[in-house]
Amino acid sequence: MALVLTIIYLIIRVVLMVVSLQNTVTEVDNLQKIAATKDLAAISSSLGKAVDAIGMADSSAKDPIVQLATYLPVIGNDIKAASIVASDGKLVLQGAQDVSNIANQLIKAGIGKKALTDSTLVASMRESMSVMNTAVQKLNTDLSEIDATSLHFGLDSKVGSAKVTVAALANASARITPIVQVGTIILEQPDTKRWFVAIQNLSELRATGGITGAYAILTSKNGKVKLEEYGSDKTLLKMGAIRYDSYPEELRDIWGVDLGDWRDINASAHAPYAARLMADGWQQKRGQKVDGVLFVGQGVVSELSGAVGAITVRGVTVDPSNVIDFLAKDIYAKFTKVEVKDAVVGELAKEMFSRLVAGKVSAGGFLKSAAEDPTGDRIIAWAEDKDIQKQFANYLVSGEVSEKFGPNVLVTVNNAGGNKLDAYTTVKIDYLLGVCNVDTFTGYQGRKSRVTVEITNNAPSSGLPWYVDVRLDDSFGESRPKGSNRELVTIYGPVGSEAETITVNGEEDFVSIGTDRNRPIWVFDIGLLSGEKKVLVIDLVEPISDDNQEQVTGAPTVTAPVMLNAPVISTSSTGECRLQ
Amino acid sequence: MKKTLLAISAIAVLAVSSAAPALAYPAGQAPVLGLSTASRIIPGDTVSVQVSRVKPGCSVTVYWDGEDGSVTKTVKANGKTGVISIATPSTAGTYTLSTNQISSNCSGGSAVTLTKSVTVGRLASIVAKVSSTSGFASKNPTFSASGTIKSGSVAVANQTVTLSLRKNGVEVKSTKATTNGSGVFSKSFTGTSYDAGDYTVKVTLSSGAVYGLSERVTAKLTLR
Repeated sequence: MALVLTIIYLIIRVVLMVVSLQNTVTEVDNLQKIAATKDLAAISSSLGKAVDAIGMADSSAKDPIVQLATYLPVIGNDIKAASIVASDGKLVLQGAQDVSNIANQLIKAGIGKKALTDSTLVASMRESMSVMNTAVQKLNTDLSEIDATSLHFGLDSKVGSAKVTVAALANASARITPIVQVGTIILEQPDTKRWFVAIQNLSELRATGGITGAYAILTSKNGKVKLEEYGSDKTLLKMGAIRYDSYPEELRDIWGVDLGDWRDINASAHAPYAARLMADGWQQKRGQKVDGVLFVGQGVVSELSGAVGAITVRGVTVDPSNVIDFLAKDIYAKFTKVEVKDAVVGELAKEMFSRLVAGKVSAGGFLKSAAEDPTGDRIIAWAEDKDIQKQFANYLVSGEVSEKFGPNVLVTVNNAGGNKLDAYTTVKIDYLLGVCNVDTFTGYQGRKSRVTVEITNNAPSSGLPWYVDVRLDDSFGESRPKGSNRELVTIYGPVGSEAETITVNGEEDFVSIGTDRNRPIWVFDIGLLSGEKKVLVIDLVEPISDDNQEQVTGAPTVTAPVMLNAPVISTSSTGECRLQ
Repeated sequence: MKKTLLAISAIAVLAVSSAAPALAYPAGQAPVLGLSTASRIIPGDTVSVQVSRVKPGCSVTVYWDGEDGSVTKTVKANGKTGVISIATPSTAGTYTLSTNQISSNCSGGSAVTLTKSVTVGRLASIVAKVSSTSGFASKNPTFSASGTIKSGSVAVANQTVTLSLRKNGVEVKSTKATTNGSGVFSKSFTGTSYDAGDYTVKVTLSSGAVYGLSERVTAKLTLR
């Protein structure tokens, strides 16, 4: 009898969950229509109805009996899928409602136009965006683990469709959230702050993204931001060499760069080094204190292009569908004279700013273009003020290289050919944690691991403008046909790790070694012909104990290079190692 | 606010630079001292190094700072010395591998001496703490230091360590202790009195045939 009652109860709960989810879908459909009106209050109200509907589904999903039912044969996966959508979806919709509410309040408060009367609103926007992003990423991860082919009752196609939609939303959210985090931190500063924006060209890679092709000086105070100055790298170079006393002495020769040259100073993965040099340089040359530095690349442009719509400059129309290729490749072919090319960029930027200031923006376009942005670009921010910097670090936008023990590696690429061929460079990185019970020579209990970097130069062997495939490095007699490139690939090992073998395409190779942020680093000097791929492998022994001889735990992680072509990352582990 | 946020990031559209060849641009123009491996080196073994991006015909000498012996090679047409095998010092420790000064004619830029810090042999990991019989100077306390020394999973046994008791960073007393079979050491500082202040102990394991120099400073202990 009890079993029958339990089954009846389960059926009721599952039916309730499904009906509630259907109601949620109806509310979300309504939400889409209301979103077109751009009425934030109405959007917020509609989101509230959707939250109420999915809340009922979530209540059923969290029922222990329903949770047990996820282990049932045949229909267990269906219940599990509905349960995930209900629980994760509720958090997403709640987050969206919070963001919508706060955005409505900020607009009413005249954000950007008037001085802030309540800076906590800006902080609330940042927090709610961060919470929503976490919820969206969790929904995406959980959905991706559902095997849609094992579902029934039409759920297979619905979940399959949801996977695609949520993956796009997760991509957009992951790109927009850091911009909001940095932007709101800047906006809420009560005193005047000056920000140096390093505008990077990801076609010529550096560790923080790309060569500094241009810059902007912004000032912020109490919610208002002004553009004070904009200039190209030519203006920076004319200022002359900057002093680099603040740069760690042991790192000054590791990449063979002139740290006094604005184009060379972002070779380390630790963004605060370059940021500090830029701030120092501006102070030295202009006598103005810089309170912070932002690193941005072309990836953001595609999102902005979606926000402001198509722009036509000198006969070329730039929109989200072509902006990345235009700025990374096509502009060099279309405008072969450098001064004309610079002028085109300036006119494009001027029009984009004009539209943004005039409020000619589309939130939907912004979101859509963020979802479709294929680049590996990300914003990085640094501040002189320790409290602000701590906030940047907490949101993982500071570009700081951790000095802590743990199974994490970083990979960077610095272009050593002096060209713009990195629009054609692709990278795959694999990090494998292997066998245990191997001590390091550096005094730690450890395990074996392997970092594999596959780098490919997909540039064509002909047809590119000189400016794109030029080789400005000395040749030393090597064959360097058109389309060839040279890269300095740096691998940052885990703290305390050491290399057993270092190979390129299976052959032992010579690398430059050093220490950056308490980590061993290995710099590969790699020549790549057009279409050539090279595989760089370091076999490591890395610590599983720290300086206090205590266990180091965690899943393997890779911090990938900031690139135009998003790197492909994979990690794996044979499991946790235990201290002996 | 969204507009302002967008404006902040709008400047990314300008991310197209102009190139102008200059000294030391692009990256990687300076001579490089490369190693095929730079860790897990047994004292006395040889390591393979190569100096690259130097003008052909120039001579490059590689040696360990403060040690006897060196190897000289002439740079080939490809700007590389080819493989240089050089024996490591016979005592564990951290050493500097160095080149002669490479002239500006040979480097193509500024004259440069290349150096790399290389650890030969194993290092030990020291965990230590300082304690006292009382937290008050008026009670004439006795300070003690204790700890464990291991290299990975292996206890560093029968090794002598130097224990330096420091008040506000300045040594007030020094003694020695020997690790037991488990790598554990313990020793009291006797024969002196102490003023109020912050005390630490610096533990030093000197370099030997197996282990390189290792040091550890304990957390501070405040005597009132």
